[in-house]
Amino acid sequence: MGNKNLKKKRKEEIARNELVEQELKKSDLVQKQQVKLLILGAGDSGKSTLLKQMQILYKDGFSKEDKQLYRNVIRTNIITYIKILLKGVQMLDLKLHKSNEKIAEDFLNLPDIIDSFTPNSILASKQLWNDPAMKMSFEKRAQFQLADSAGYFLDNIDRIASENYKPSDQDILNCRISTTGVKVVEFLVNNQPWKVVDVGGQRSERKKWIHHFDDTTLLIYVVAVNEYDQKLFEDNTTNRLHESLKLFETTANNQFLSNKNCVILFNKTDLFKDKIQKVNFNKCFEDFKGSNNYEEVIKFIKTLFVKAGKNTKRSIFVHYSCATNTNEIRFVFDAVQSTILENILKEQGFM
Amino acid sequence: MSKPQPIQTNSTYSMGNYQSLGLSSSPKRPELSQEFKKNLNEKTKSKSKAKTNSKTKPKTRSKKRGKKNSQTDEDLGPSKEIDVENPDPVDEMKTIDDVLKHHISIAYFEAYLIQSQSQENILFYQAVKKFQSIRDPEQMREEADKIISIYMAENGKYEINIDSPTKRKAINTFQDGKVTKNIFDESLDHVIHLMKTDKFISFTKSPEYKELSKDWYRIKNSMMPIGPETPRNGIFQEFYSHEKEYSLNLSTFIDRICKPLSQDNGAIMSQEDFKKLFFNIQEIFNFSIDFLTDLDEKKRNWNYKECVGDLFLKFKHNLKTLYVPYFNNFKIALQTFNEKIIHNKSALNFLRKHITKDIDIESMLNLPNLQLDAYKEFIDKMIHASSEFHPDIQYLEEAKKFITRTQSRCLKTTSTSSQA
Repeated sequence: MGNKNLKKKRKEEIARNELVEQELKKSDLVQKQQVKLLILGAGDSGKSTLLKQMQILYKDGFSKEDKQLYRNVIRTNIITYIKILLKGVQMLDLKLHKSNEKIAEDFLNLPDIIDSFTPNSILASKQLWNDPAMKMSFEKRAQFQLADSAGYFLDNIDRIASENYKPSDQDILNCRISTTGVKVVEFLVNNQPWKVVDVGGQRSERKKWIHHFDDTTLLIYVVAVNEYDQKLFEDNTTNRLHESLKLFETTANNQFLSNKNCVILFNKTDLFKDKIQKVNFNKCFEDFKGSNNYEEVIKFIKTLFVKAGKNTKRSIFVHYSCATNTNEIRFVFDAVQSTILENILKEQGFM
Repeated sequence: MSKPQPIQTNSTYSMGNYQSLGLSSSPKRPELSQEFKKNLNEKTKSKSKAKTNSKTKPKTRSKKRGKKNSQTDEDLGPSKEIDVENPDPVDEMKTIDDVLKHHISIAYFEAYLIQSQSQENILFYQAVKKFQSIRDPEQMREEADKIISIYMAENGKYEINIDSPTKRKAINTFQDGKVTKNIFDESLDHVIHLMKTDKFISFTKSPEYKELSKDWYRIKNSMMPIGPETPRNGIFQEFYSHEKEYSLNLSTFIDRICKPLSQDNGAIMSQEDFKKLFFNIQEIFNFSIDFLTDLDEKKRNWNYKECVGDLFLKFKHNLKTLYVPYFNNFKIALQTFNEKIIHNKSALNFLRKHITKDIDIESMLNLPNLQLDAYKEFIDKMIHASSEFHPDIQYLEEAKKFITRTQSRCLKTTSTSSQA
């Protein structure tokens, strides 16, 4: 009897040990496996914003130097936005308040690229922004090129103009800096080393992508869905969403990526929600026959992209987000993590 | 030095859809041989002439001033605020404008940009600065044409990332024949802005910047050449392109002339004649690839400290045992060429049949003879551009002695010898 019990106990122990060992092996594997995420997408779709989110989620946020840089960029951007809106005021034949006319003239005399500013010009920006004609111009911004994040920063102009202004994480996430070249950042996500590759998205930048296609674990393709009525920065004639779709089709089916799992991130859904109420989607995509509401249009766009990237060798995951929202992006990366984990274990025959 | 005509090779590779979307169709990091083709027709590297005092940016100032002491401009880039807490040895090296003032600091920045694949920005900067220093209208037009085809045209080798209205404006002005000194100013502003906001800040955290900080005092104290002299980097890049072109020319020559002639079991020329005519050109070509591979390595890791003189010392043996005999055989080679090719109908016919484009065989044969001179010229230029403290100096000096010695082994009698 005693002997039998002992044997049973021993067997259990061995089984347990095996289990533990296997778990250890798994976690060892996971830790050793270098994960490479490739973030691609057309210009201004939100790729670098994702990287900034990872900086917040998996590293210790932004350094003092970073903040200082963003502070200056945000403030110069404000001046640029004001200048663009003033041009809009002229274009639309709107009238500024008399007391603002002189200041407006000063702004309009600034060079096209503004890269420094004085505290006074920030205060003047604030004053101008309060002019009803400027608000009117902002409403009609679709008629000229104004950055997506202009609204966010102009709404916060009081805080940004204050003397001790320090940019918040939210400010930094919203601040657009055009990427040139390639940036590779390493993160440790739950003990697993991730190499994340962020790139510039304009046409001239895309010839650099190809050097980074090897050894990709997962492709994240970012699409700014609110761009459906906008033209490209680099040629001013091509519709941005059309370009993004075409680019996805060629990239995702590239011989080095065609068997890689892929996440399509439909980004800027907040701006999209606003726009869809004002601009008919059908105007830009004539094939679209549904009714012009968020759900139907998003569904249509999703179908287009999934169809473009679909093949038997990969899975495509779709997420919707506003990349400046840390919670939403955390959710996306949690999902990405489990996909990657599954991937590794499958490859090693654990599943 | 006199150069034979380069053989035309298709310089771009393209593939349907990819091109329109700006994707390159080459599947992998371009291999050496592809690089050859890509670069063949280009002298991309301009000698940077960053003028010490040129303000690259107009400072933007709002006209209204009124407050107490707070009117100083805030510049993008790391600010002085941080330095108070964390004193920095290179206090004055703070903005991109400072870095762009000296060709040495530019070289460091360039090394960093190459790593992050955004060197087109700094190359464009240097090209425009060079352009701005040109007076002669015809030369200006030529240079502008070059800049547009390399940096602005769609699929140009170093296409810069700027918005289409700005780009179009410059191109249209050029096409209207109105080439003025400031035709690229607006584009340059955009490019500087791009570097400033995206890459400069990360550059200040890079090892290259640390190296630069160490050198900065020396740069400032003018112990190193500052000013309009060609920097080492520029000379090196030029040399690199030269070597690349040389190897490519050799490879084409071997594939299109030597190999076909050796076929058909000596029907066209006997093995003996073949050997007399081409001698060790195949080995020379093999060596040129080894040499280029090392150069390529240096090019990729290029920074201010990089040495090149050591390369010549490493390949001493090859240089001596390949080039000297080739040179000394050249008289026989030319004789053979005259007898067995020029005055041999069947050989001529054969060549005509197999070679579509005209290749000047004589000048191609002479190519290796020009190499020792080219090396000497390069070494001289490098010595001239390096400060006496540069680690490369001792290698360069030794390499110079070696090359001179090797040249003296070449028989003086050969007539078609080269001239630097």
